[in-house]
Amino acid sequence: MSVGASIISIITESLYDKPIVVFREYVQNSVDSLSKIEFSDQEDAIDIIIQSRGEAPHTGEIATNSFTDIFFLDNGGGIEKDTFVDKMKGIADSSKRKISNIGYKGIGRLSGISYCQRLTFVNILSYKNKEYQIYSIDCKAFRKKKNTQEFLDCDVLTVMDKLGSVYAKFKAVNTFTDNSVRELLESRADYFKTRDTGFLVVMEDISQVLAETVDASTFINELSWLLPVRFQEKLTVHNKYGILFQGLSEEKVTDTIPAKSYPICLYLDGQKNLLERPITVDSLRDYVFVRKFSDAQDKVYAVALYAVNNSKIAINRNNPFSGIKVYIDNMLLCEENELLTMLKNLNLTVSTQNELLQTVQGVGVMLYIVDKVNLSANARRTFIDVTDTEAIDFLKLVSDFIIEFLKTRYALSEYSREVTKHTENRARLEDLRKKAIDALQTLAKNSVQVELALSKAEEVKFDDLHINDKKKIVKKIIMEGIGAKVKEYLELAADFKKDTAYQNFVEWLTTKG
Amino acid sequence: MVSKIDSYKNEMVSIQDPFQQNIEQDDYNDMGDVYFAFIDVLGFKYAYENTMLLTGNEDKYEKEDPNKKFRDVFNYFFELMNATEFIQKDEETYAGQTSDSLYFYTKTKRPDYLVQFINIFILFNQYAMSKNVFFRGGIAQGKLTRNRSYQFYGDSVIKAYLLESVIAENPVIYIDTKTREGILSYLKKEEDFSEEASFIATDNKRYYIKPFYEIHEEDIVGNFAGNVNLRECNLTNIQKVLERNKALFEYHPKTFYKYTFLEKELSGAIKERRIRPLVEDG
Repeated sequence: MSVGASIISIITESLYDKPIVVFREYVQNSVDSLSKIEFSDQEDAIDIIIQSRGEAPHTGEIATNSFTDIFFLDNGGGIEKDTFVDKMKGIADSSKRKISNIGYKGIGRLSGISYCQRLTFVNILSYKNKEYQIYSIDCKAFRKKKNTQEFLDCDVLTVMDKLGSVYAKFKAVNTFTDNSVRELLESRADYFKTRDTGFLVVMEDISQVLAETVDASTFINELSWLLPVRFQEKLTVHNKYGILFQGLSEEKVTDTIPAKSYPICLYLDGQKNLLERPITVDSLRDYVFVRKFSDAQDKVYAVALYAVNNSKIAINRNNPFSGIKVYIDNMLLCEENELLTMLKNLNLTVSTQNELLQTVQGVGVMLYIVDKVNLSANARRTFIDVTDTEAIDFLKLVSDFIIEFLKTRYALSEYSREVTKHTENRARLEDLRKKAIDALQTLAKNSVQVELALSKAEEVKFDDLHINDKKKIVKKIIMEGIGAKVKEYLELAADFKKDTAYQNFVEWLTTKG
Repeated sequence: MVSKIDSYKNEMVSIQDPFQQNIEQDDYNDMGDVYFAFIDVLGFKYAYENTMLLTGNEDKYEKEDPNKKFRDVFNYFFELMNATEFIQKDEETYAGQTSDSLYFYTKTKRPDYLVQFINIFILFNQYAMSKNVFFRGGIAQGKLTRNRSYQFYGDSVIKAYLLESVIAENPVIYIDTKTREGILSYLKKEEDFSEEASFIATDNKRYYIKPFYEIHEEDIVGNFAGNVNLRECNLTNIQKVLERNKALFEYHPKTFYKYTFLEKELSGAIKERRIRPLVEDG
């Protein structure tokens, strides 16, 4: 299918409205690349290097303004030599399948176009032999020409041909690329001791908007929540909670590791920062619980880690671990604001937004989605796509989960109020204390499941129902049954073909399902 | 094998009863009959006066930091105790420490708590021995009167103290007759129980807890309400520590025999196949 320069504009400008997501997209590509490597004694490396310089790269004049460049380097598998150019020029022929939901359709690669003057991709075929493939996009030229007839009438391959060029040597791109990339690669020989490949993305002369994001005092903190970074070591060796933090990072819940993490280093004008989740031992509160959210067949949708106090649920501005953060592949998908808005739009909450926000900001929740087949993120990856019943079932479980926090908050505050009154009414105090304990015990449940299709009441009355109502209930049962069979088929089938997908499924169902 | 996420247990929640707190502050109350354990560190004073530890090379001595090793061992004791259900749930069961003494008590109506404590203590004690910290103690049945959990007195305390300081000869935990009977009546409910195979031993004079009784992790994990890292205990290290201490105290009239006693216990445990034969490291 042909798409024009206008589509590229839509992809690069309107899908990526928060500049910081550029970091997510290029780190995601590094993560994809590293996850393909099976056995290696070379330690993984993902570096984000942000450096400033005072010289204008193209005119050679000394400029009064400084320029900032961003580099993303990894020592993963890179891209196969024969496919590099096609991959750089194409969008819809990405090798990333929806089932993994990683770097969906290859869009992420273009996210830097709006935020820099030149975007260069360096495929490191052999570090030792200095063998590279380079593809570079003149973003400044694209922005000038994108609304001209010359580009609007073209399909994306033609547009890419005009703006992006393939190079064999750095100096052919420009002097800046030649000097900076060479220096950067030479200083990191350790990354390529036993693994010879990698990938580098260069954002040359970033925009004012992105520079302001980088300069913000909250930048490192935001990145540490956004990217798939490790937990602080004190958490993984904690005598009480260590096993939980280790389990999230290392163990397989289904066929995914909820919090698989990477050693991501940020170099900010020469200063090295190993990025870690901003969760400290002190921020954990009185209890740290874990819970699995499952469907009716016990398949796990998500795993949550959550921290709550046993005396009250109240906002503490000094606690960095507050609110709900939803993750896919250990990348931040959305926070409580987006999540609560989504739940409200689906009519899954009855309380006010403000009440719920005040409640969830008094606790700390990391919600890791592990079922990526049935719960997918949209292309922008800021919220869950609600496309079928599984997504709604899951969001119902999340909504109930949030309501448990609300109930606990009120139970604890009622009890606390009664205690401070120094009441002599022991019976009332004991009653409130039991309610508070019950609410906390509900929160301490370590698993919840979607309810089964029919309630007992419905079963009893079924024969008395109108034919249309019977059809509705039977349809619901069949759809749930079919849904379970589809899930089973997707797990067991080894090969998938788009054209004969339905026939293959029916054949499987009749012979083996 | 259970994954780490599945083996993590969400804590039991609790909110303290303010009236119960007030009662505790008021007056001493008679608890009735309890099992009371009084357990002392062997050679605590000596550890601070003379901290030389003989290394592999007989001519070389290595200074040992007593503060560091006691801190490590006492911390581990409380990590274990605080994670147990009997400490978290039962207000009439307590574990504490003052200087070089550890305490534990529970009402006689809960022999299960006493057995759980003993099982955990055996494991803890083996770890402590590997760190050159040795305990001697007594568990006795008697009366206890208490105000707050750490403010108590009674004949159970006196009896346990006497067992440890006057009667005990070796670095093990001695139990009095009533405690032994209480443990046996509880353990006899288990299928295939025999006293010989249990953790109770006798030197034909007194009953004591076998220091090298084999405790399987899966047998005690159920006693914990919370999560705890059971520290690895290397029996080869214990053997080395015993050998070193024997050399160090060769001319000390009483101390030498304490270590030979433990060596005999260790080799007896191996012989009876209660534990795996020791394997040299690396």
